Amino acid sequence: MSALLAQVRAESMKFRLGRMWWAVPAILVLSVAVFAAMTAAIFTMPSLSFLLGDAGLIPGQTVTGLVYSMATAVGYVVPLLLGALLVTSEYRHGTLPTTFAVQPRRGIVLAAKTIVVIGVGVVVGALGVATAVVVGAVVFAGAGADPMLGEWSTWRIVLATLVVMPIWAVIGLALGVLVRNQAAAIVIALAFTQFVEPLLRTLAWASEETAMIGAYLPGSLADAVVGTGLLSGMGSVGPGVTGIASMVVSPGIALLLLVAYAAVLLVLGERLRWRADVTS
Amino acid sequence: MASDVAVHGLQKRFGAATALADVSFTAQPGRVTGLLGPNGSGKTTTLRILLGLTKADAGTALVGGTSYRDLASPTRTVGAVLEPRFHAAASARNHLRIAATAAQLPLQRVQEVIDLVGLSDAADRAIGGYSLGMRQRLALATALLGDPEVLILDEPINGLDPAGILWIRQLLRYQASIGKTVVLSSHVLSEVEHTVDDVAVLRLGRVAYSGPLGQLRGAAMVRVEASDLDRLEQALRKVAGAAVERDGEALCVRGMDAEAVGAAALEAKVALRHLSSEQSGVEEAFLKLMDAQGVQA
Repeated sequence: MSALLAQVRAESMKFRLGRMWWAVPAILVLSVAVFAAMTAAIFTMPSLSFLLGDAGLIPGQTVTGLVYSMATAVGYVVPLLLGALLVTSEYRHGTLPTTFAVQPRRGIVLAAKTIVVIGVGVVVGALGVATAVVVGAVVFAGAGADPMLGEWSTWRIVLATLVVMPIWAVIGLALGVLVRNQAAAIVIALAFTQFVEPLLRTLAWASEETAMIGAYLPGSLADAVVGTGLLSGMGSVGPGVTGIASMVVSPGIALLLLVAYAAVLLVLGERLRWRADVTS
Repeated sequence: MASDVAVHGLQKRFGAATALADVSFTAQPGRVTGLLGPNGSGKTTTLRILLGLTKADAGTALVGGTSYRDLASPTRTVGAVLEPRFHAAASARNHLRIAATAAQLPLQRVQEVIDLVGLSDAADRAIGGYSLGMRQRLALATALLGDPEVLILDEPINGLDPAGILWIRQLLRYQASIGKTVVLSSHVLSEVEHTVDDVAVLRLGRVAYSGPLGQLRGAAMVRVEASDLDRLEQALRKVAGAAVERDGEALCVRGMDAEAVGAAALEAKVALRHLSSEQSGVEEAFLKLMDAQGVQA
C-alpha cells in the first residue's frame, strides 16, 4: 500500500514535468469559455435570435443545460489527452526502463498512473464546468435570462462532469498504453473526439436503428450521464432532428457502460502492452 | 549482507532471432565483473532480463538468490544504469526526486548523489541540454540513490571523456572495495581492462569465456634463443606448468614468465642469445576468443 502511495506521488510529479499539464487544461478553459458564451448569447440575446429561426423558443432549462455541459461536450478531449500523455511521455523520453527498475511491480505503476489521471480528470472537470457555469451565468444574467443556478438540473451537470471527466482520463491512459507512440496517441485522440465520433453520432440519426447504436458510443454515453450535451442536446433544440440519440440509455446504465469501456481498454492495454518486454 | 549476481542458462529469442542461446555467469561481492562482447552479442538483453525488464524464455537471473521483481526493496538492493534517457524538461534534481519518491528513499539522498557524481552545477538545469557524459553521470546518480549492494551498469563508459572514464573507474573500484557487487557491460575491453576483476565474454548469445581477467591474459609467451637449445629445452620441460614448443632456432614457452625462463637457463648453465616476452594483451586475447568462436559458429 505504501509502495502504491509512493508511486502515486512520483507519478503526479511526472505529470507536472514539461508544459502540457497546464497548457492543455488552459486550452480547455479557453474553448469552454468561448463556446459557453457563444451558445448562451445565441439563445438569449434578441439580436442573435435570427440564427435559430423556429428553434429560438425552447425551455430555459434546455438552454442552460446545453451551456453548462459544454466542458464534457467539447472538452472531453482534454482529459483523454492528459491521460494518454502520462504514459506516452514515458515511451517518448525512454524513461520506462528506469520507472520499472525503480518499481519492478508494474501493476503498482499502472495503478498509480490510473489514480493520478482520475485526480487529473476531477480537477480538469472542475475547471471546465466552473468555466462553463460562470461564463454562461454571466451571459444569461446580462441578457436578462434566468441562469438557473439554484436548480438541481444545473448542479446535476456539475456533479456528472466531475464523474465523467475522470473516466475520459482513464480511457486516455488506456489509449496511451495500447498505442505507446505519443504522436499517434494524440492524433487518435483528436481525430476520434473532433471528427470520427461526432460524425458517427450525426450519421446515426439517419434512422432509429442506427440511432440506437450511436447511443452506445462513449461520447453519447457521457452525454447520457450528464443528461445533456451539445450533440445530443441539439436533438431537443431543433424539431428537425430526432432527440432520441443519446437519451435512450439511462444515466446509471450509461455510467456503468462508460466505466466498462475504460476498464476493458485498460485491462487490454495491461495484457497486450504493459506486461511486454521493455525494449526502449 | 552483500548479494551476488547469478545468471544461469538464459535463453531468449526475439521472433526468429536468437538473442541469448545459453548464458551463465556469476558476479561476486567485492569484485567488478565485466560483461563483454561485440554489439549484438546479448549483453544488454542479459542485463535487461536481470532487471526484470525483459522475460527470459528459459533460465534464471537472480540477485542475492531472488529475481529482481521479487526483491523486497529493489533500489536498496540493485542500482541500475541503463540507456541514459530522461524526460527532457526535467532537471536532474526533479528526476532524482521522482525516483527517490517512488522508491521511498529519503529525499536528502538526492543532493548527496548529485554531489557524488559531480552534477552540482547543472542539477537544476533541464536535462534536454545535457551532454551524453552528463546524462551518464545522472544515470549513475539514479543507480546510487538507494546505496545498493549491487550495481548493474549497461555501457556506463559510453560518452564519458577521459577524465570521466578515470572517475567512473575509481568510483566502481571503490564500490567493489567496500564489498559491493559491480556488473558492467562494454563492447570495448580496453576501456574496462583496468576496472574489472572478472569477465564474462559473450559472443552470439553464448558465454565464450567466464572467469578472472588475468586468466584471459594467460596466453602470454616467452621467446628464447640459446647456443645449446636442446639442453635448454630439456631443462624447461622439467618445469611444472610450462609448455615448450620448438620454433626453428628458438623456443616458445608458455606458462612461465621471462624471469623464470632466465633462471632456468642459468641453472642449466645455458647461455642465452635472446629472451623476449611476447605479451599478448587482453584485447588481443579477447579478439582471438571472438575469432576462435567465429570458426566454431
